Amino acid sequence: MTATSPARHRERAPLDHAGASFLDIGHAVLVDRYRETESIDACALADLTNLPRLGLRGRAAAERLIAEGFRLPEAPNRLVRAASGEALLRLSQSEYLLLGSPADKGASVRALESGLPNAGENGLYTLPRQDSHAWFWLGGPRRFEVMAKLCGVDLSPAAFAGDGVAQTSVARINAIVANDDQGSGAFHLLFDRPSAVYFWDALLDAMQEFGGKPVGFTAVTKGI
Amino acid sequence: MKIMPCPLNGPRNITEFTYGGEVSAMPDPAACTDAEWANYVFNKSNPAGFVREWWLHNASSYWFIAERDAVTDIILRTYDPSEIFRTRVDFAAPRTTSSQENPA
Repeated sequence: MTATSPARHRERAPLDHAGASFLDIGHAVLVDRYRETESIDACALADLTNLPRLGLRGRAAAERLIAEGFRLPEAPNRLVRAASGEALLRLSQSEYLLLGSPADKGASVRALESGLPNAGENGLYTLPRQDSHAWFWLGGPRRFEVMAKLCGVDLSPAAFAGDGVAQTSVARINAIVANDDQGSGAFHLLFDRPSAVYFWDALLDAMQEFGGKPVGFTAVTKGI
Repeated sequence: MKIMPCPLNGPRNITEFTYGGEVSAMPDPAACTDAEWANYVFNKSNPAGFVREWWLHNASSYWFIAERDAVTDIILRTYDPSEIFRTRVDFAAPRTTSSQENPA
């Protein structure tokens, strides 16, 4: 048996994660683990860029998501986690961002995207977010202190809603910060894909004083 | 740091925003004269005092309108453009007859 490596698929993440072991999710790979045993103690960072995600916009976007069985966030800049694990972010009155579920490795979001029109038919615009954005996951109880070092918006539990979304500047790049407080809780960070290498290093640098480390997908799914 | 209240995202540092020019009424592009259109595109009134301007929140690509006092630099009010712009404007290209369509 040959070891799974990112080179097996055409779709690659911006970061190569040399030395890690990988998990094949069909169309791409995710980092399974970096070390023999991984736990999320203080804070941990994972690269979920290869997990499927999708944007929807327009008059008919809400209707279509309801038809697919999703409960919608009631106001812009809020998040709702579906029972099947997808996180649905509402970014404005009529724009949504759907993050694939770790449980099915994003398969249902990928299937949904393939069945959607892409040219604004009947007030529904599909926004491909797979290649435009990168997706990091920041977990662990000290994640709020890490974000306080990098972001001007107060994301502490006292000030920021457990289902809050902030579209703001983090470590000097524009990012969507989604607070997903279910399970052990985590921040989803979505940002311009070419900034991934810079942002990964900036986050690890900020996490250093708390003993934070990168973790693979296996540790992420344990925390959900 | 100066704070701008974004109608969608709430109060944010001014560095998260980009200025987009003053809000002015667009003449009907099909009916107006070239001089009227050029005045709309190129000339700005730039008053000392109350101004109504387009601003962009960079992180969410959200355009909104801000009313400012240009003398004191105080932001008076910010709001969604739907308060002013209620209908969609489509720019239909005028029909042209090319020589291929109409061989004489």
